[in-house]
Amino acid sequence: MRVASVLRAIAVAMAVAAIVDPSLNRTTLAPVPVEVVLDPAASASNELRALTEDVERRLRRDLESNAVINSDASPAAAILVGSRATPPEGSGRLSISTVNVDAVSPPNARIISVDDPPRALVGWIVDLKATVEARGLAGTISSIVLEEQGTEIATLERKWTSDNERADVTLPYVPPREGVSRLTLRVRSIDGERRVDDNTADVSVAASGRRLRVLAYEPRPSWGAAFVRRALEDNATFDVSTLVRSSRGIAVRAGTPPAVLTADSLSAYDAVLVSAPEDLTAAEVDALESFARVRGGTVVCLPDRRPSGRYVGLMGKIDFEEVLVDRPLSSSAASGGVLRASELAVPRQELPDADVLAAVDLKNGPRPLVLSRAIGAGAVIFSGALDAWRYRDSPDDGFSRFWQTSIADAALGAPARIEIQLDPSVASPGQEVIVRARLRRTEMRELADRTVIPPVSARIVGPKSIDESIRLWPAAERGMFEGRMHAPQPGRYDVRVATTTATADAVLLSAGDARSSPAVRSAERRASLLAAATGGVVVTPDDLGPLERHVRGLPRPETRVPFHPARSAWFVILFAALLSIEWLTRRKHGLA
Amino acid sequence: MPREQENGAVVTDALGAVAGRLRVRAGLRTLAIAITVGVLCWSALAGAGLRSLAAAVVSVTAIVLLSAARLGALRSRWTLAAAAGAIERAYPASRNVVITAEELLRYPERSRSWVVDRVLERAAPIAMRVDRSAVTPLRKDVGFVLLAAVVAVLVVVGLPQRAFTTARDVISSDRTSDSRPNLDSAIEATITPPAYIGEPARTIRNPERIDAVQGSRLRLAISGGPWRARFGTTPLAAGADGNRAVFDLPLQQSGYVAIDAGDDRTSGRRRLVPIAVVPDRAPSIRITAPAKDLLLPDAKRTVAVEASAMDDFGLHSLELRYTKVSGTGEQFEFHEGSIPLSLSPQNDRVWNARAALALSRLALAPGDSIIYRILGRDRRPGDEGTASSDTYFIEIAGPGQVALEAFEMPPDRERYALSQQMIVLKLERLRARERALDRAALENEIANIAAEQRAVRANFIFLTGGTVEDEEQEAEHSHEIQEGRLENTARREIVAAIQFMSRAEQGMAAVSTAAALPPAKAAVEALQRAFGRNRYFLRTVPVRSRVDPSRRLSGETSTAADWRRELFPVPFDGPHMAARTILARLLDLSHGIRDGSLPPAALTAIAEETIAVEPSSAEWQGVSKSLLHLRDTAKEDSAARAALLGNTVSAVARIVQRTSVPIRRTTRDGSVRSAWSEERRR
Repeated sequence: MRVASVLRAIAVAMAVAAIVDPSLNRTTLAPVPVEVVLDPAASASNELRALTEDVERRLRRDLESNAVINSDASPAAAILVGSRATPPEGSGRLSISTVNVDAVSPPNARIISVDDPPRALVGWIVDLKATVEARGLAGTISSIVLEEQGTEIATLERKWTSDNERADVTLPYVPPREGVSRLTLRVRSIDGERRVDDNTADVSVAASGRRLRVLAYEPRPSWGAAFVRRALEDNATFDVSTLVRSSRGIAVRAGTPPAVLTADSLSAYDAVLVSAPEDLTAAEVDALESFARVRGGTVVCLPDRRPSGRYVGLMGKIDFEEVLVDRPLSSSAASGGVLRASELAVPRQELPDADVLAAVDLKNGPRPLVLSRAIGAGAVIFSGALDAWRYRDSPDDGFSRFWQTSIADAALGAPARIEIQLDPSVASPGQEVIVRARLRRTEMRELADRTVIPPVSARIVGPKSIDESIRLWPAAERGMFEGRMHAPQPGRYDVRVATTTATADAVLLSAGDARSSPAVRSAERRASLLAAATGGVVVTPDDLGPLERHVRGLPRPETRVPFHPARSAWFVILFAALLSIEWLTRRKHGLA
Repeated sequence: MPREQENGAVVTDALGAVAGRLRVRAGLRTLAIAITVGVLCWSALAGAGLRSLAAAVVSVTAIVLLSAARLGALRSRWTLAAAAGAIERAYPASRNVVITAEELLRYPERSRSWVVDRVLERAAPIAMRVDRSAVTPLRKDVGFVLLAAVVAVLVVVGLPQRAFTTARDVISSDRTSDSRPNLDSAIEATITPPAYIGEPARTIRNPERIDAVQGSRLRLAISGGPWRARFGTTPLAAGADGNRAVFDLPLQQSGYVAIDAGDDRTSGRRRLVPIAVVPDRAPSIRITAPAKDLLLPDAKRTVAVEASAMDDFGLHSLELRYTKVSGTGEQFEFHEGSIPLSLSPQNDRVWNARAALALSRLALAPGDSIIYRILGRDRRPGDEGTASSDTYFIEIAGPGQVALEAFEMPPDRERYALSQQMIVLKLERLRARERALDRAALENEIANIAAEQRAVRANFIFLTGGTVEDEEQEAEHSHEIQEGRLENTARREIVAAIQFMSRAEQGMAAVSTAAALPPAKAAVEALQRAFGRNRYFLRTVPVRSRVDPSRRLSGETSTAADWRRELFPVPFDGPHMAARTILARLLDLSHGIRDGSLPPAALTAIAEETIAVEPSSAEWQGVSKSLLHLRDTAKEDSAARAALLGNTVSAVARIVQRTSVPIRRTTRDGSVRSAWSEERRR
C-alpha cells in the first residue's frame, strides 16, 4: 500500500507540474549556415545549369542535418559552384570552397590553358606551352596542331593512358618574319566528342628583329670569355661590344664599349659578360649590381678559377667547391646545348631559388654547373664550367649553342623602358581587353621620401582612323598601370603607351573568330588560392566527399532552446503509467 | 496484146523497176558500211604497227567478204514482192492491190481469171503512176556512201588524228593547272661519269632526281618541244638529236634543271629535276704503326711504318715523305726525302702499305728528328685528289734528355686534356696509391705521365720558338709575347716553367713521384704567373713556325698601346634565311594555295626557290615536289590539298627549326623570384 501511496503522490505532483507548466532551457548545436553560389554562366548553358543544380541538390541532401544552405543567417562558409562564381560580399572570414564544374562529359579533349608566348626573335625557336585535358579517351591518340593562317606548321601526338588525364605539351615555333603572328593551337576532334568548341585557342607571338646588345668586359684576357664572345659575335642577333684590359693602362676594344663601367653607361645593354670577375673593382661590381637590380639586365660571370672576390656577393651566399676530373664531364642543359668541362666550380649547398641552366652529374648527384639567380629586376648567371672553352669543337657545337641560347634568353628578359601586356592579345570584337603597362625602374626617380613616376598615357590606334585614349590606373605594384577597354571591330590595332621620355607599342588583333586562351587553369589556380587562404577545399562534382567532410567539420553554433517537460508526450505517458500501476496495486490488495 | 496481159506487163515493169532500185539501195548501204569498217580496220591495223599497204589489203579483203556476205543475206529485200510492199508503203491508198497483183502474177492458179484480170486492171494505173524515186529514195544512201568515202580519205591522210591531237592539246592547255605537262614522258637523262672512275654511262627516263659523281657529264634529251632548259639560273644551250632537244652540261656542283616550253603560258608547268652531285673525296690515309711520336736513345733502329689508305673511287699512288730536322735553337737544317712503300692492295679502293724507316741511313745525330707522313693520290687528274696522313715525329734523344719509349695521345679523348695542372693531379693520385702498386706497374704508370709531361713541355718549347739555350738572358729581353698584352716577365715565367717540367721529367725517370711532384707544381705556379692562370694550352699542330730573326728581342713595352679590333659583319646564313623566307611566303599564300586560286606560275616559282636552297637535300626535293603537286592538282579536293599544304609547310618549319637556336623562356617572373632570392641572400 505504501507503494501505491508513493505512486499516487508522484502522479499528483506531476499533475500539479502540468498545471504550472514550467519552462526550462536546453543547449543544442545548430546547423552551419552555408551559402552556395552558383556560376552565373550556368544560366546560359543548359549543361552547366544542370550540373550546378545537381551539385546544389546533392549538397542539400547530404548536409541536411549539418548545414543550412542559403538561409538568412550569416554564413559560416561559402561554396562556389563553377569557376565564375564569385564569393559573397563580406566573406572575409568565411571558408571558401569551390566545386569545379567546368569539365564536360566524356569523351572530350580540350585545351585547359596556353601559356603567354615568350618574347620571340625572328629566326629563333620559341616554345609554345599548353595544357591539354582528355576525358574518356584512354588508349586513344590526340593530334595537337599549331596553325598559322589556317595552315599546319607543327604537330605532336599524345597518347592518353587514363580516362581523366592532363598533359603539358610544347610546340616549337620559329617566327619567319618580324611582327605579330596569330597562332592557333588545336586539338583535333575525335569521333563522338561531346564538345569541340574547347579544342582551340589563339595566341599571338610578337617577333622582334632587334639586335640584342651585349657588352663583353674582360678585366684581364681570358680564353673562356673570348670563346663565349666569339660565339655571340658569330650570330647576327647579337650586337657585341668588347672591352678587354690586356695590360695596365692598355685596352683592346671592339664595337662601342663604354670607357668605364657605371650604371649609366651599362643601361644601354641587355646583358653584360664578365670574365675574370675576381679582378673587378668595387666600383665595377657596384655598377654591375645596379645594372642587374635596377636596369633589369643580366650579368654573366665567366670565371676561369675558383670564385673569389667581391663579385661573389652578386650571387648571394654561395660556397663553391672546385672539382677537377680526368676526363671532361658533359652537362645537360635545358637549352639543348651541351657544355663539357674538366675543371668545375659547383655550389656546395642547394639553391632552390636558382634557375639551373646546366647541371653535371657528380658522385654526390647532379649539381648545378651554370646557374642563374634573380637580383632585383635582373639576374646574375654564373658559369662553373671553368675550362669549357677547351672542349668546344666547332662553331655550331654545344658550346656556342648553349651560350647563344642562354645569353639571348637573358638579354630578352631585360625589360624595355615600358613593357606592355595585353590580355588577351587576340580578342573578338567587344571582348574586354586588359592593358598593363610596366615602367622600368630606370624611368622612375627615387627620392629620399618618395618615388616620382612620370605621367603615363595610352592610346589605341587602328584602321578607319580609330585613335582613342585608354584610361590607365596605377596598380598595386610600383610603376605598374592597368586599363581596360573593349576590342574594336576586326583589325590590327596598335596599343601605344607613352611617358614623357619613352614610348612602347603592342599589337591587338581583333577578329570575329578569335578564340581566347581558356581560363580554366587560371580559374583553378584562383580556386586553390582561395581555398588555401580561407581554409576551404576544392572538389569536383565527381567527388563531393571532401567538401561534405569539410562542412561537417566546421564549428556549429550553440543555441539555448526553451523546453516545457509537461508538454511532452512522455510526460503524459509517465503520468498515465503511474496512475495505472497505483490502480493495479490497489486492486491487488482488494481495494476499489 | 489483150488488155489483161497489158495490165500485167505494166504492173510487172513497175515492180521490176522498184526492185532494181531496192537492189541499188542495198548495195549503196553495204558500200557505205564497208568503207567505214574498212577505214576503221585499216586505221587500227596501221596504229598497231602494220604497214599501211598491208593494212589496206587486209582491210579491203575483209570488207569484200563482209559485203558479199551481207548482200547474200539481204537478197530477199529486192524481190518483186519486196518491191510491191515498198509501193504499198509509199501509196497506202492502193489498199494492197499491188501486192495482190504481184502475188496473182506469180500464182495465177490461186484465183479465177476474171478476178486476176480485175485485180490487174486496178493495179495497172497505180503501177503506172508510181514515182520510183519516192518509193525507193537513194539520195540519202548516196550521201552516206559519199560521207564514208570522204571520212575514209580524211582518215587515210591522217586529218582526224591530227585534229584529235590538236583537240587534246587544246583541252590540255585549257586545263593547264590541273594536268601534268607532257614532259613527264619525254625526258631522257644520260649521265656519263668521269673516265677515271671507269664506270659506264647510264640512262634514266623521266628522272625524279639525278645523282652523279662530281665531274660527270649530263645529257638531257627531251622529245617534242621546243624546250628551254637552264641549270639553276644559267641557261643551257639547246642542241638537236632528231626530233629531240638535247642539253649537255658538266656536273661540278649540285643544282637543278628547270625545263619549260619557253613561253609564259606554259611556264606554270615547268618541270624541275634536282641534281645531287657527290664530290670525289680525297683518300683517307692512316698510319697504323707506330702511330705515335717516338723519342729514341739513338739512331740505330729501323722503325717499321704501316699504313692503310682508302678512297671512294680508287687509289692511284702512296709514298712516305719525311723531313729530317738537324740543329738546335733556331739554327735548323731541313732535308726532305721519300721512302718507297711496299703496297698490298685489298682492292682498287683499299690499300695497305709498309715501309722500313732505317734511321741509321739518315745520319741522325743526337737531338735531331725526322717528321714523316704518307702522301697518297686518287685517280683524279691534277692535285685535287692528293691527301696526307697525320704527321709523326721520331726524335733522337739529345744530351741530358731521358729517352722514353713513346707516347700516344688518342685524338678524341686526350687531345685537349694535357695540361700541367692535370699532370699534377695525376701525380698526386699516383702518389696516393703507389704503395699498393708493384714496381712494374708503377714504372708503367709513371712512364705514361712522363710522356704527357714531355708533350706539355714540348708545346711550351714550340711556343717559345724552339729550344732555349740561354733562357734567363733571353727572357730578360723578350717583349713580344701575346701581342704585348703580357708583361715581359711572362716569358721568363714560361721558361722557368719549362725548367720545372724538365725536373719533373727527371723525377719521373727516376720513378719517384716525390721528386717529380714539387717541380710539377712549381711549373703550374710559374705558368699561372705567366698567363694569369690561363693554364691550359692546346696541343700544337706539329709544324714548326718560322720566327723572323730580325724581330727577336726588339720589342719595346713603351710602344704598347690601345688597340681597336674591327668587327666584321656576320656571314650571311643563306640557307636558313631562304628557308625562313619560303616559310613566310607559303604562309602568306596559304589561302590561295588551298583554294587553288593561286596562279600556277607562282607555285612553280616557289617550288624552284625551294629546290634552289639545297638541291641535293631530299627534304627540299620533297617540298618542291609537293608544291608542284599542289600546282598540278589545283582543282582537286580542297581538304586533301589543305592536308598536303600542311605537311609541306610543316616540313619547311622543321628545316627552319633545325637550323635555329632555341630560346628557353623569357617571361621572367621577376618580382616573386627576386624577392625569394633576396630573402635567401640574407
